[in-house]
Amino acid sequence: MRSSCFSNKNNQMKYFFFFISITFFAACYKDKGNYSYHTINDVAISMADSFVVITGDTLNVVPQLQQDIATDERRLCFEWSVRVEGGVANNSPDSADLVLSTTKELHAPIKLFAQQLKYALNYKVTDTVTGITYRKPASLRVTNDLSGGWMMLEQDGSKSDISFVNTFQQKAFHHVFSKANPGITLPLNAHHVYNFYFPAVTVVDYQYPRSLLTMLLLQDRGYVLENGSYKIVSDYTTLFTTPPAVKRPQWMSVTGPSKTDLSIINDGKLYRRFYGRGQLYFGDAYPTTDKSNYMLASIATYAYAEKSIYYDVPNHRFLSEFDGNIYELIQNGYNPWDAFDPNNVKGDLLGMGIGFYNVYAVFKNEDGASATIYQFVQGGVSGKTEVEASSDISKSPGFAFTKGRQQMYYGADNNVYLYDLAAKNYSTIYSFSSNEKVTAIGIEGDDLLIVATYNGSEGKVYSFALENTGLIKNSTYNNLYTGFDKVVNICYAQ
Amino acid sequence: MLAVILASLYSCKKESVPPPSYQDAVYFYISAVNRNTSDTIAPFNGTYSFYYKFDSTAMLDTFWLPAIRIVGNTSTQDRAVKLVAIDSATTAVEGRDYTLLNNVIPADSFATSKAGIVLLRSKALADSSLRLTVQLQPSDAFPGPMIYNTLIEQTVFAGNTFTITYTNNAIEPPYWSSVSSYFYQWGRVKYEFMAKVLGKYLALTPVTAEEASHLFDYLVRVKQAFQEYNAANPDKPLVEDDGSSISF
Repeated sequence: MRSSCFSNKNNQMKYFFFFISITFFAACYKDKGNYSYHTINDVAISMADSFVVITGDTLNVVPQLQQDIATDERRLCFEWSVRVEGGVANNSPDSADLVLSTTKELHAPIKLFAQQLKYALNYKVTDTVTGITYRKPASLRVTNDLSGGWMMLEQDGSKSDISFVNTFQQKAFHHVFSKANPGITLPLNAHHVYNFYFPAVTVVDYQYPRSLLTMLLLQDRGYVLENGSYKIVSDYTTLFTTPPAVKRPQWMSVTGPSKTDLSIINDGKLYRRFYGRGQLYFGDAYPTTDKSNYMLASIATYAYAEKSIYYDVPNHRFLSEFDGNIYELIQNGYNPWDAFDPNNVKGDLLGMGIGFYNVYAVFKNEDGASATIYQFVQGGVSGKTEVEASSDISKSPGFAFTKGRQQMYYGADNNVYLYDLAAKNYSTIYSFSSNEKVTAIGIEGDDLLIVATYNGSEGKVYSFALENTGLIKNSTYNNLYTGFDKVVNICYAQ
Repeated sequence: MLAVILASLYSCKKESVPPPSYQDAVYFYISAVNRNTSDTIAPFNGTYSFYYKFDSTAMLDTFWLPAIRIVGNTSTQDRAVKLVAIDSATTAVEGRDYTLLNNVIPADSFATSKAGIVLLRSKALADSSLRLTVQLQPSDAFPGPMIYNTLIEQTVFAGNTFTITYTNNAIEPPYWSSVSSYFYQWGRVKYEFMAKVLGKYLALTPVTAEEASHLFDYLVRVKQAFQEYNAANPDKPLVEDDGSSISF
């Protein structure tokens, strides 16, 4: 019995291994199927990633195509399309693709609206033999003559006007305000032009779409201007729930943690429009927390979150704001007044700005030549620097701060200076001819400096590309625009 | 051992894929993007006014319904959609006040390119309004069950019923909600004043992102004109037909 058992088991194992072996060897069976293999004709597309076009102009794009195998492009079909964004408010349609052309090269007039956001441009190449579609995405910025550049508020000795430098076209458009508003003469007391961008916000069920606001401030009035045309839309008091008793707009800025809000100083008082909360108009003037009176200077700066800094001229003190109130800076363990007492600062405020998380306020000292730079961080004082008269800082008509570097640009006479706020030293980085005096200065991002000069008869505007060190690339300007009056204020317009 | 081998080989048996458990069907498709998703009624209601034709001789117009999409695969042939009026929720009369178009799902398509109803400016309209409720119903081409009006995954309003209210009178334009965050409640006098100042009637058509970016400019422009009007007419300030005040 035992032997028999072994014998049966042996037979089972033989059958098992035989069966498994057959199964394994099946994998070695040569497939004699009648297949026809061929390489797929891949198509590579080469073209730029971004394009700029003036609305109404023809956009020309000549892509380079490289096929792995085929050279006959008749088997390819093409499509150029632009994604046109749907409305951002309720009940708006979905986005849609607008087909511009179905030819290999794009030569199509662009009639899209000029806008700050870029359109998505898509190029599709379909191989009709393989059915495979190849895509190349790109971005398209559509601009018009008067958007995407610098607004220049200028004076000709008897009146003011606005000119515009279109940085995409690298072209100046002169006297755009007077051309857009015939019959209206701007007096010499016009002092600021602004262009603000507000991102879309949602408040409960309401959506407030992204928007632009262009402003012109004069000594005793102000205007809302139409974006891109500079036509007067309304008096600036339409921005208030209750118009202020005294019309004296001094300064404006976006503000708030997400830059959705808007601040204005009018007749020394601070007002805020909480657009991020769905508030369309400025509310009442901010009171001080201690109910003391205040009269703000015409120079201030937006700082991160709620930590903007203002200067109260008659009380020689700095103020900050929080949720509807303006208050004196508070000394505590986190913000000791080791550097200076912010409630006792005298001199003439020349400029303010924010650079690398610090707010800086430049004052001309009582000697009329030297200057002091007061420094704040997170609404508290953080430093004080005395600057000698030889720096010419007190002569500067304006200041431009870099956000990513602790640097400040200013100009005096025919020189442009770079002040290193960390190292506390200055250097001349460019000199114009001796009869050209710096009249205004501005900065776009951290890498493009704009300087306006005047020689007594003509204003000029220079743009300087900046190195990461803050110095001027190649030690010279990259664009020069001429034919201006005396430029007194510069602002970038989307 | 043999049982194990047989069991393992069983997995090689070709499995017959069962047919889909659903039947072809159709439904109204309304994107919920940029809509108030807490309101599941408004997306399935539309308004229309012949007033905004600005042509007293215009006797008909086509009201475009939301897109109609399919459940199931596309077909190589056009397929008719069965759209019927619900009498209990309709005051308009077919043939006199409206005509249903022969809406189809085109071959190889997942949706109608456009689905519409011709509204007729009949005498019955006069100064009142008419209501027309239409419903998608099962048909030979789309026998599947219908989807009741609902919001799906916060992204799409899907349903089978849509109501149109139409009139000869000035009414809130169909896309007023796109501008109401700036202009608040609609009123006839307010709207006519806005049109006079702006030179156009807002929100009769979908408000594009570009136009939306100008709404604040529109608002302060109208506000300025409104203040000037009231200053020039202190004894006759602008008010609505029912005497209620207007503000911007």
